Amino acid sequence: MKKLTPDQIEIIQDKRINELRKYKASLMVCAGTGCVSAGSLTLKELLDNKLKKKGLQDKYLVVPTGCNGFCAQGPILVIQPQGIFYQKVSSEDITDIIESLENGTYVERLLYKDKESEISIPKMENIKFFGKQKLIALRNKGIINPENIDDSIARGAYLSLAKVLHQMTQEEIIEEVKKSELRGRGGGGFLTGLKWEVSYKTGKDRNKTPYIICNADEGDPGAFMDRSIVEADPHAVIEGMTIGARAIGASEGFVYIRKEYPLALKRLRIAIKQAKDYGLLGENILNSGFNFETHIHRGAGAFVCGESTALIASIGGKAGEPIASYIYPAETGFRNNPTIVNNVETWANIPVIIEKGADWFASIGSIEGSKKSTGTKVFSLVGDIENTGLVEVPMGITLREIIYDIGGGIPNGRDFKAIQTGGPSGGCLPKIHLDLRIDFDTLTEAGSMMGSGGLIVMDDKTCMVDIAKYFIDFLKDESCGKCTPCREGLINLSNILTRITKGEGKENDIELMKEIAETMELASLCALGQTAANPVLSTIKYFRDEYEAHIKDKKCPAGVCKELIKYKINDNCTGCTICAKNCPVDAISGKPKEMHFIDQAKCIKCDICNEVCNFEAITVE
Amino acid sequence: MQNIDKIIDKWNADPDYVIEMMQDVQDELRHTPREALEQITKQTKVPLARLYHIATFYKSFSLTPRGEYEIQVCVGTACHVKGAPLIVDAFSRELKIKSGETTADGLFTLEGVRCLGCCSLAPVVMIGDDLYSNVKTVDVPELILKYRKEEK
Amino acid sequence: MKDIIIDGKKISVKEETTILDAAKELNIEIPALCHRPTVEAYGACRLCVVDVNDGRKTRMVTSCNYPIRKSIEVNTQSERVRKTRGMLLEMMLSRWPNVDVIKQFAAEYKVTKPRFIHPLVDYSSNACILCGLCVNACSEIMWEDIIGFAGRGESRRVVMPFEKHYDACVGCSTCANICPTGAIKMIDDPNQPADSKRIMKYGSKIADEMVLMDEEQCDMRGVGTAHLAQIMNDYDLFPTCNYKFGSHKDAGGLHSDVFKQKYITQGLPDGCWLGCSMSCAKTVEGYELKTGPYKGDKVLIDGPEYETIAGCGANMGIFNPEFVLEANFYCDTYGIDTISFGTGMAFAMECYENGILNKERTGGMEFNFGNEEVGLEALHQMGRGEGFGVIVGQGIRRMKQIFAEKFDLTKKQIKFMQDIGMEAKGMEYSEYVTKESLAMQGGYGLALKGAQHDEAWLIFMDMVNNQIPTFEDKAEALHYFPMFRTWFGLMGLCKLPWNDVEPADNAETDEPAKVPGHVEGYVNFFSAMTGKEIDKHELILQSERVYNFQRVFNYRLGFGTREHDSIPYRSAGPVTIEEYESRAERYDKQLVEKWDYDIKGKTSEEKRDYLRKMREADYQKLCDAVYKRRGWNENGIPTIQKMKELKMDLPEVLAVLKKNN
Repeated sequence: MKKLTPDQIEIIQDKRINELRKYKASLMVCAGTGCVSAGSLTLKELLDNKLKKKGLQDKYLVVPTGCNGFCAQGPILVIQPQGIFYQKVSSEDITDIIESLENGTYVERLLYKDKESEISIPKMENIKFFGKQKLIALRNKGIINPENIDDSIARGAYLSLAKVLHQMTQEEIIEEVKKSELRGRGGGGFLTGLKWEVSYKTGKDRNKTPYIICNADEGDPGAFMDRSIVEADPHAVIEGMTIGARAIGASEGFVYIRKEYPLALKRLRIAIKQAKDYGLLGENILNSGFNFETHIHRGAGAFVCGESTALIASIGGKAGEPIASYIYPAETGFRNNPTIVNNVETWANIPVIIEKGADWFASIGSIEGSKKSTGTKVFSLVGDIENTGLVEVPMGITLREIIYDIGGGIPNGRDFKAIQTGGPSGGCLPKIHLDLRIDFDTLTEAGSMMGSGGLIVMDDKTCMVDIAKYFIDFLKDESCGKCTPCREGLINLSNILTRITKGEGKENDIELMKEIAETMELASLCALGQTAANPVLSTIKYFRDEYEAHIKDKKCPAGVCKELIKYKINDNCTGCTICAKNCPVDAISGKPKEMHFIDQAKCIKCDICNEVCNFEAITVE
Repeated sequence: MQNIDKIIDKWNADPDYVIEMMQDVQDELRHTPREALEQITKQTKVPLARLYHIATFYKSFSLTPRGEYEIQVCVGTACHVKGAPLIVDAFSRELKIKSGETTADGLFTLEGVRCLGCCSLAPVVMIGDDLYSNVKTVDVPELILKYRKEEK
Repeated sequence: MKDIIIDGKKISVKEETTILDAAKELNIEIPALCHRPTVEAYGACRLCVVDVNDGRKTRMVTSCNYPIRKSIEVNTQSERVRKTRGMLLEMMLSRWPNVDVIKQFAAEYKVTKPRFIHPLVDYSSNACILCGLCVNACSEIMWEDIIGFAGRGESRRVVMPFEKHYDACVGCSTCANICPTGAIKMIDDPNQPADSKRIMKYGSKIADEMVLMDEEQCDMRGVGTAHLAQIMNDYDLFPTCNYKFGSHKDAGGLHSDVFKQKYITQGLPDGCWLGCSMSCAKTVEGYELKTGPYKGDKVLIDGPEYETIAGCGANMGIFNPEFVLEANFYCDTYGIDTISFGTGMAFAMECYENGILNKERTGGMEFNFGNEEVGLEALHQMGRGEGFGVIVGQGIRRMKQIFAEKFDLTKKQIKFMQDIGMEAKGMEYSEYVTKESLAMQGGYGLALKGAQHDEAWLIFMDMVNNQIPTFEDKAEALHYFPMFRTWFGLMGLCKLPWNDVEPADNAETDEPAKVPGHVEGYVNFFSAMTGKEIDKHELILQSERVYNFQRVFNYRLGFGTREHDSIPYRSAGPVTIEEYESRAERYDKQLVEKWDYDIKGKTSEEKRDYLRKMREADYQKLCDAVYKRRGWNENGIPTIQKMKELKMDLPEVLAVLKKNN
């Protein structure tokens, strides 16, 4: 294929826009991992077939898109440009959808219903979930086919690259990113432009060629921002990396992406190939004389590889062990050359900053005071919340706005208990912090952190000691084990927490855990160990009474810790026998139509009786 | 071990890409046996001790063959909050193996895995390439039966 | 330099110095489990944490790997530092309650009974504490990766691959030696020494020196003996064009840097003995041959050593590293010694340039110095057993005979061949110019096997440092060193670790040239290996017995007298006018200062002849002195008395000596 020049990008852009204009409507079928698992690819195929059968294929275009974000409602179909949002679409709905398209109406039963007012909302923009969002990193989510580069170009992709290659010096690019005050979206919150400057200068001073790395080894449990960005708009990431490479003078880059993300991996590979074919990657990019290649490394399953020195070790074919924290990758990284490691979301922001300018970007977000968090942040909003999914909001929005306005509150009429932010090394924030502004510094001050953007909402049925134990066990399993405080600290914390959840806690356990935590924070080699005790510290800080209930009263108030709870059958029992039939250990007895009983000696607390009971007759205490 | 040679060639025997080679071996043979690692050592000159460290460090690798169907129960935070530990217990009970083990007939390997990134659909289970969302403990026996039948 | 303060004490240190090293200079002790000077700081145990204030804030860092880059203030004993170390030790002690090194450190921090029960508690007193020293030592000291870590987090462990014994382990014991808890043991030592601990003690001393000092001393681990090329050229000792000169303007082409940067494959253990911590043998991989039967093949070349670089390079007037590699490969392949090849070719080339040979006599080859094509063609002829190469391949002594017999040569030409044919006792000279070192002339001439430097290498002692000015001094050196070096042959040991790496304090000893610290090591090595206690005198005596026996053996075969210790004049002084004039200033000065010779109005020829007379006489005086020191008669034959003293008065020996005395 012929390599493009800058003007030709605009020609392709115009051509594709005109092509798309010919269609009366585009049917955007979400093909993110969530919706695919709910059958959206079959849906897309059936839509195509049906349109063809009816001879409508030139009138309506079916586009498989990246993640729409409102994953809980999948499979999702959005009709553009009208903006009609259909949820939980199945193959039986196809005929009605096409009919309504032709009639200019919509299919009532597939519309989203507002929980409170119970009114159907046809247009996506009017749904609260989307209301407060501001899309920068996710600018193309759900509206392009991520496997077609022309779609991306139609939306302006690679124009920023053309601009930096032909109209800006390296120093000017770095200056622009610095001025935007963009901070690393991987969790550290370090100023991206500053990092670039260090690499650029070090490379120049030491006559070494810098490297570019995109960290897509999203390992935080409860987070899928990076996966969704790569799935929805891979070219944003590639363009961002190429701009970064140009800025610091790199000629080679790597994307380190989790093996568990097959769809993202596939789309990234396609995107790299398409970009290469167009001459947007490779040699003499856009006829500028600049060369840049990217390679993919599949992460083989180690959370610690999110730490940049461990990631660099992994890319070099080694076990992912961090090295001395006084070695900065920006100076001495891959192959001892200056290396920039930024995560997917950071890279995806870069082209927009170049396009719209640093001043525009810096005007968005939490921008009062000396410590600013500019721009937007993508969050995955999950757990005990009505509207789960992916959201992008301006920095500085409050937790309450996210949980109640966007998220629609806690389901099943339960109460909000805590929100966990910042991944496993983050912290749990209680009700009193609901009005906290979400930015890097405020979250840290409250004892949690921004992390890469996982927000896990927990209702009052969640045991905070169990949650702390969950995170500590996760980290214990993921610690590389190199340094003493992280390895031994986690083993001991886990051991103590296990005891507490079994009702074997001791009086001074809380203080002892705090001491261990302090040593881990001060003495661990890398950020994983330094922050690993956060879940314990923040839960002790905000939910100390729950710890004390476990230790002193040997009770789990939330009814979660197996050793401390009992399943009982209450008066609601109608004797329907369903629980006895499903009990895997035959612990339930009782005659039909009479109240049943659980043999505590046999009960393994598997919760199946609770799950199957239709009369709320099972009590956990 | 011709397949192994092919895999090594695919990555040009580049020592930086041994982890990639090992992932391909794992996919191909469902484990990374000693012979394969020795072959990689021979051609890339990456010491065997380093490959062994890699094989035991990253979760993707297994030294003994994994089952035909890998049952991956997501134990990410969202799934945990929504009862994933009970799901793992249920599979463990039904298959009579612990997490990380393979059934005697070599059909299933049970594993609790890091977040699969489908938190909105929690709790999720992946069996082979199929993803199951909003799984309930009570669904487990039926799920296993489905794959047992497929096998017959 | 940066001025820093540690615990209130000021010190000025070089930038990038670690806090731990700076503290050591101030005699401030910081506990460290996973750190040794011989391995790179690993920063895993974290016991060495200290508080650092850089003027902005205080943070805790590990002193073993924190590089000092600005003026900082360090507190090694702050309350939180002590508390942190205490907690680290408490956790370690809970896991490994009976490991001495942990118990000791813990006691210092008043930790005796941990407050928690460790789920992985290991009661062994030799438990592995995961400090990583063995893994890093295997990799960094031995350039091997036999042992390594496996697993992660709580399942992290130190193992050989697949948790089984790994054949690649040669049992060098470096890991066992560095392990602070005794977790690694040598279970099977095939040599079965009497006292393996004592051997390990001295062995590890050498290994440590190798790691800490070699790079700045000889860089044997980096480039091997190739490092000598530059030094020899700098001191005018680098044989150029058949030893005519000792340096050349193009010699830079053969410097070790060239080989290191362009050819030698680094980072792989390529010692001739697996387990050698010097590993000076180097390899060049993937070299594409340009000539001969394997032309176009990419091959692995063992070397090049210094002798090959000088012999198959400068001495033939060639300064192209690729010629050296090609010759190296084919010499090895054909089974030809690179020194004899280089020195022999140099002789033939000088003969060609002086009319002793011509195109007709060489079968059409132009044997000029610097002719690479001819150099390789002659080598291939030797390999094939045809052409003029066959004659060169027989060595200098035979070439001299053959040329004199076959070609119509003048007496002057025959004498010239004797002067420039660099062989003694029929063996070609190795690659050092000895003209300015009388002791080294003796080193070559008096060596039993012929002109090899492995009995004595005295040039620096003699010529550069002037440590052995008198004949007696030189004779002493020509007694001690050949005996000492012979001992390596007796034991089957490599000589290079003796003085190609030296202890840090060697220069301050009485006799640095002998490397007393290492002599002590060898004495201990012998005693520990055999269980028989010896001292350094006994060590020399062991050699003397064999050495004298060998001399008698030579004598019995008709080679062991003064006449066979003679040397070609090229090795003692300038043969030609060209040679004299190239270093005229030096020779003139010596004539005046040493021999009171009035050089005014003298021609170069006259001066050269007088110098020759003096130097040849000196060589004979040296022989007198050496024979005396060795207990030989004036014809260089061991006396019966000497053999009795050595308890080598065996009947066969006495028979030989009596018959001829």
